Amino acid sequence: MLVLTHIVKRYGTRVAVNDLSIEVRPGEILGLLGPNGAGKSTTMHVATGLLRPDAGSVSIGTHGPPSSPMARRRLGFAPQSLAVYDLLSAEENLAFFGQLYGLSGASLQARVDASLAFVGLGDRRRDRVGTYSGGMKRRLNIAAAVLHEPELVLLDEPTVGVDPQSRNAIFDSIETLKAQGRTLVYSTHYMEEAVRLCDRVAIIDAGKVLALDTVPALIRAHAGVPVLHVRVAGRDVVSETRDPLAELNRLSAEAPVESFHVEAPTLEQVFLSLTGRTLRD
Amino acid sequence: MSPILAIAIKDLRTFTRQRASLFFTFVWPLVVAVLFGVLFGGSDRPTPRLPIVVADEDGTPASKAFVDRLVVRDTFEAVRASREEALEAVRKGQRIAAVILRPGFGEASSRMFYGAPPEVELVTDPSRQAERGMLEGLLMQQGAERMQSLFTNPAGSRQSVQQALGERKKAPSGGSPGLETFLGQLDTFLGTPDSQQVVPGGSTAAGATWEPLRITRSDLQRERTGPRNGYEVTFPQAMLWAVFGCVMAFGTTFASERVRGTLVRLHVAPLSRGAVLLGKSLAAFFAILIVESLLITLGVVGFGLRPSSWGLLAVAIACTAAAFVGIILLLASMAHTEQGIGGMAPAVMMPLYLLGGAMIPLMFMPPWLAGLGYLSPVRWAIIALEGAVWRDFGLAEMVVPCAILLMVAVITFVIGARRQEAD
Repeated sequence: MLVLTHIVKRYGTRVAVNDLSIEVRPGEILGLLGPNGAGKSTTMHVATGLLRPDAGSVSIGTHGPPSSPMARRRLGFAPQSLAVYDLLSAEENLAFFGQLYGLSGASLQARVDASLAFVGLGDRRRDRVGTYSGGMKRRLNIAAAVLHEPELVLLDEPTVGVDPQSRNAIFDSIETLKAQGRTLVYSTHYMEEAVRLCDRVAIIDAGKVLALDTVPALIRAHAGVPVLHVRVAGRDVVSETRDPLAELNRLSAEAPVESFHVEAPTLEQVFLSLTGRTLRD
Repeated sequence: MSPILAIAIKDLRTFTRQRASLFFTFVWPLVVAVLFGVLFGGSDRPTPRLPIVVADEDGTPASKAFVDRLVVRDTFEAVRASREEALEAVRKGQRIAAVILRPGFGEASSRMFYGAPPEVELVTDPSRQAERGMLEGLLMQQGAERMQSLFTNPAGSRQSVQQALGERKKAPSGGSPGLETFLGQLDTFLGTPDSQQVVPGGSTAAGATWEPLRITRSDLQRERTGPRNGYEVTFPQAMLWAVFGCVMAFGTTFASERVRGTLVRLHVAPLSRGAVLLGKSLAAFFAILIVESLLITLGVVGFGLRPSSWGLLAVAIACTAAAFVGIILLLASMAHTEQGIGGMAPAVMMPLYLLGGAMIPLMFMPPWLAGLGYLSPVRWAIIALEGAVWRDFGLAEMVVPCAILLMVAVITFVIGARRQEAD
C-alpha cells in the first residue's frame, strides 16, 4: 500500500532520514517506534509528499508518488500538530476539509456527520474548536484525516498530550479503522501503544530502520530471554530462560517455591539492545 | 464548490471572527476618516456661529451702532451684557469671548485719520485660543467697515470730517498741512451731488457703494475642482488604513497556517500549492474589496461623499486590492511565524504609508521626501481613489496609477508565490 525505498532526507548537513526502506502491507497497522528526533515525522512527511526526499522514492499503492492527485485522494494524514482551525466549529472544519477533497452537498454532510460520530464529537459539533480540550482537538484532527475515507491513513503521534480518556477513545477509533480494512501508519514513542495497536513495528533511530517485524518476533530476536525470579527455601534464584515454566518445575522439584515472577522482555529492551539507549533518552 | 473558493471562504470566515482584525480593518479607519474629516473642515454645512458676549461701556450712538452691527453678523451668535456679566459668561465657558467697548469708543470713532483709534477689549476663554485669531480678524473687518460708512452716508460723514477739520485747525502749529488739505477736499467732495447719486448696492461707479475690498466666494465643490468636504480627502486615506488592517490580518493567516500545521493538511489535499495560494489570496482580495466598499458606502450615506465616477472608483478599489494582495503574499513569504509577520509587516508598511501620504499630508513634507512618495504603492492607491472620488479623473488619467498598482500586484505576487513554493 505504501512503499518507501531507500529514502534519504537531509536538513543542511544533518541527515534526518538515512536510506530508509519500508513496505506497508494493505490492511495492517505499521508502527514507527522511536524516540523524539528519530526521523519518524520526517518519514511521514516524505510519505505524504510534504517533503521531497533527497534520494529514494515513494509509491502509494498503484497510484504512484504522493504528489499525484490520485494518490493524495487515497491518503489521509493527521499531523502531530493540531491541524484544525480554532475559530471554526468542528462541523465547519470538517466541511472545509471535505471540500478540499471534492465532497459537496449531501455526501459532504453525511461524511461530516459520520466523522464526528466516529470520534465522539457529535454533541460539540457547533462549538468553536478553540473551546475544546487538547484531547478533543486530537480526535478532531483524526476525524479530518479520515473524512474522505482514504485507503491509507498516516497518524503522526496522535496521542501526544492527551488525557487517558481521550487516548482510549483514539485507540478505539484506530481499531475501528483497522476493522474497516484501512491501512494505517502510526508513529509513536510510546512502546505500549505500539504493542497494543500495531501489527508490525519498525524501530527507528537516527533516521534508520533498525528492525521491522511483529512485536513478538522483535522481542524474540532482540530482547533476550525472559527472566525468572524465584524464592526457594529462603533464597532468591534468578535465571534467564526461554521456558520459564520448565525451569520453575525444575526448581520446585528441588525445594518448595515460596514465590516467583517472570520478567518478560519488552520493546524497550529491543530498543536498548539495538541502540544502547532507552526510548526515553 | 471549488477548493480554491472553499479556502477563500474559510479565510474570510475566520477573518470575520477575529474582533481585533475587524476593528483595525474597519472601525479604526472609519474613526480616522471621521476625526480627520472634522479637523480638515469636513462638513459642507454652514460654519457654526461663534458664541460671544458684548459689553458696551461707552454708550454713545457710535458704540451702539458698532454693537448692533456685531450682533447681526452671521459669523457671531452675540448677546449683550454688562462687563461683569460678560466676563462671568466667558469664565463659565458659556461664551468663547467677551468684546468690551471701552469708554471713549464713540469719540475715537468720530476722529478721522488722526488720534488714537477706537478701542475694543477682547477677553477670550484660554481653552478656545484657536478661535481668538479668527475673532480678531472679524473685529478688524468690522472696524474697517467704519471707513465704508464714510461713503455710504455722505451727509453724516461730512459732519465728522468737518469736526476733524475744525479740531486740526485749532491745534497748535506744527500739525499736518497735508492732512488738513485732504480733509478739506473730502469735505468738498461729500458736499457735491456726485456723492449722493449712486444707489446703494450699485457697482458701476465710485461713490456711495464704495467698498474697501469685495470678497467673491467661489464654491470649489460645486465646480468639482476640489473635494466637496474634508471627508472626501480623509476617506480614501482611511481606505488605505483598512487595507493596512487586511495586510496584517491576512499576512498573519499565512504564518498561522504554517505554525499550527493546517498548511500541512492543505498541502496533503489533492490540490496544487498554487491553488492554496490562490484561495488565500482570493480571501484577502475579497476582504479588501468588502471593507473599502463598506467605507465608501458609509462615506456616501453619512458624510456627503459624492464620487465623481463610480465605475472608476470600482477600478481603483480593485487595483488597490490586487496590489496589496501581492504585498501580503510577499510579506508572508518573508516571515514564518505570526510574531515575525507582526513585527515585519508594520516595519515595511509604515514607511510606505508615510511616503505615500496616508499618514501626514504630502504638503507638509520637504519636496525631496514628497517626491520619494512615488515609490510607494500607497501613493498611487490614494491618487487612484481620490481620482475617482474628487479629482474628476477620466479614464486616461486613471490609467497610470492603476497600471502601476497592477504592476506592483504582479511583481509582488510572483516573487511571493515563488518564495512560498520554495519554502
